[in-house]
Amino acid sequence: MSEPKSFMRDVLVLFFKYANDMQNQAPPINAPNGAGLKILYLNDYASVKEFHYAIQVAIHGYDRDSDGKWRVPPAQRLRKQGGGAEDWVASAPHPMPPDGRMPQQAIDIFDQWVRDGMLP
Amino acid sequence: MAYTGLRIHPAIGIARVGSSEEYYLGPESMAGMRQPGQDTTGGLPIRPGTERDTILSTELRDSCGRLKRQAARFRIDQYAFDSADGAETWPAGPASEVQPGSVVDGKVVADIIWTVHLANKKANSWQGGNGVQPFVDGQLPALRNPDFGALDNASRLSKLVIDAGPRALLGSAQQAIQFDAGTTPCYGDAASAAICAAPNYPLSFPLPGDAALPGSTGPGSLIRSLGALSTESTGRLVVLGGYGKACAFDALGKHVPSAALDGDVNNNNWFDDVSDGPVSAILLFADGSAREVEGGAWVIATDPAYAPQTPNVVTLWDELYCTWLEQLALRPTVYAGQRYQSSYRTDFDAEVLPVLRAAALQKWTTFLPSRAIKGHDLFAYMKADQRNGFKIMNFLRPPGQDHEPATAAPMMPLSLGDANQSLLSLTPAQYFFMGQWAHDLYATGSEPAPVLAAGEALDKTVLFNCLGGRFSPGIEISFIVRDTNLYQRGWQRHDSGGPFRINRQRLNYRDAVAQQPLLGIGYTPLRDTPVQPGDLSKFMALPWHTDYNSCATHMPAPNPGGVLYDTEQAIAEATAVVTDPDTIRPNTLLYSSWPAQRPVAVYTYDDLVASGGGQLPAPRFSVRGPGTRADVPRVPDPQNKIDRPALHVGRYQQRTQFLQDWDKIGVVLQITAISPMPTPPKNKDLYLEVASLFTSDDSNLAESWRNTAIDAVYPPPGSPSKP
Repeated sequence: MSEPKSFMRDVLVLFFKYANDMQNQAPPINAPNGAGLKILYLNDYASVKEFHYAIQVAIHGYDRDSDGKWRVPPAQRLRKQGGGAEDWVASAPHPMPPDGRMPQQAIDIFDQWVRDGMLP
Repeated sequence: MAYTGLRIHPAIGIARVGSSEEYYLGPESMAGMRQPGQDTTGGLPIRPGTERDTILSTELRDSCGRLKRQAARFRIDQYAFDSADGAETWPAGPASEVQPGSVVDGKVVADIIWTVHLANKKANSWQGGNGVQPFVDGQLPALRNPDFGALDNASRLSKLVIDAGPRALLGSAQQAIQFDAGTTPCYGDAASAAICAAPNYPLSFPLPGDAALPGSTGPGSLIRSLGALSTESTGRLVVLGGYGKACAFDALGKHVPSAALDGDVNNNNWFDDVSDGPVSAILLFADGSAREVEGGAWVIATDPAYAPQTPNVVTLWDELYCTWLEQLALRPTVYAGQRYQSSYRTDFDAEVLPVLRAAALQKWTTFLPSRAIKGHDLFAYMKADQRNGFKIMNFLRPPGQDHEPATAAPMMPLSLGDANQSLLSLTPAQYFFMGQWAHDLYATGSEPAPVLAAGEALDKTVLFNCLGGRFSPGIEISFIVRDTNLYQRGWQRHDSGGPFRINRQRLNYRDAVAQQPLLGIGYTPLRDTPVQPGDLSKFMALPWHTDYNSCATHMPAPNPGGVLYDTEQAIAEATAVVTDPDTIRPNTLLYSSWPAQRPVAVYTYDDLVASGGGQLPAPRFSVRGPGTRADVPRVPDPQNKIDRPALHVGRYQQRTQFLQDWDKIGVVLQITAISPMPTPPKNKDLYLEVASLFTSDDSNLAESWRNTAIDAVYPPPGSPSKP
């Protein structure tokens, strides 16, 4: 079993390159639990933790191609919140990054970080 | 009294090394600029033996796959002036080429004697890469190879200077003469109107070592030649450079298989086979008389052009032009009284559009995000009156400024800066021209711009296709292009030879003595010292290969916010959410070095074909052979400066590998020059990498800007199979 993922060591290196654009150019987004509109700071632990599911949806937004064909096996898909065992996120309103899919290795790391309890 | 001026063009010519005996001619059109009536933009090399037929991708390599050399071609033009001491201006006006059969001052030209002298002084030079600063106030930098004694020590000179001596040939000869140790030096002599042998010339090549060392052609083998001369049927001169070799030597100066390659710019105990030197000519008339051409030229042999149609945003021409405007009174209508003239109406096509085109074309050699590409594309074919109020000056980094916050809207050019400058800026002249355009002060059709004669246009074009701006140290000519001591400064008489001429030292070949080096210290920056063969290239990296390999992407140096250390606290501070926009902290971004000359990321022809020719696949690193992957843990920096894999992508991890594989790198060409093309391209503005000999991609995933020093790195995308 691999070492639990941490934000500073494993997650910041995935997202920091996008942090400036998110902060300066992306509109505020609805925070979970009705916390209102907020800016997502991809270089801030608390912000990424708060928006972790929205981030997961965005980076899994390319999992199925435009022809409806899955690009990744079930084990690497994102289950919808509150959905059934095979109820996967198949698209995203704004898949991220906008220029194309992150490497699967990076998506896997972020998913594991979430599973590991989102350590700082 | 009427005077006929004779000048060789280009004033500074560029040859490029290759691993093949074969060659093509250097481009004589401006990289990336539209050519009248053609889909193909400028910058393509020319097929040998033709006036201007450009090559196809199939002509980049020989039948054995070796990269062809790029030859520099020279011509002689005559200018009709009112008097020898008349006031010269630039441009000088109409001119016509002189070939055998031409008439000059009523006399028929029977032939031309061309003389070229090539040398390489890199190993007998100062440590480079820090620009002009180490030479100011009478100081000099430390020497390369300090264990060999003082710079002018005869023993040192004989061991560390590669001096192939002069070679001369007739324009009608059309046969090659080699710059090697086995060919007797010779030179054109105006007094006798003949080519004279110089059998006692002190030729100097790397000393052989153990006879069991590698053969004559492999990587690391002994350098035995700096190139060759030839002529065309028109009598024009063709100069070929070396073969891209580097070879090592021991403490006695004798050849050894290898030596340490500890740095990117200064490596002791190494030679390479680039070179430079003067080009001169004598006209031989049918009546038996002769006349020396007063406008002599210079040739530089340097690295290959891996993206010949992609111009740098700041070119070598821009550097030279700015220097001549500001310090040598080239065009008082533009610059006089120590300032640019606010009333000057800029020539949009000549002074503004090249900057915009270059910016738009950077996307083919470095990985820009789609938003940046869309923005730059707006400028690709812009006309002077199409700015539509766009405040372009808000996006241009003023010359000399490099302390911008890394988080602000990026300023342009988006590249690393000059020696001791963090980020690149336009030259003051370029910045001035852009400002004039931004204020609608540009010339219209009723104010025709000065027209360059063909030879003068060649002076400009050849240097336009070379690197400016980032002289740390650069690749063709370094910071010395800004030193007026490099040039013949009394250019404003018609009999001077005209502008942009190197202040060459007249060498007395007749009295040369074997074993007594004729070349010495030579040109020293900021000193009034004449220029010897080898004096221009000696400021470049030794060998050039290590600098080229290194110059993919880097953090700015110096980093405006200070050194970035690899500690959790330092990384946290450098990456924290910015609340005060004026906060200056270490810049973590990675910028391209000189991508138009040293492509970083490229779209490959093979990937496009493999994808069915539709949407462009993701770019790959240009340098991607085995040994380029940067995902292994590195030895921690002793000072804990950041040194993560992201800082090392797109290059060989071991410098020695580049010495072997430099000629495997592909070349970026416009799709209209690529053959075969399965179907005629709909979009003719694609610039794709072809002729790469890397059979697989062993590097990393290329990532678009804003990539940073702390980024995770990933494997590359799958490679299309190649034979």
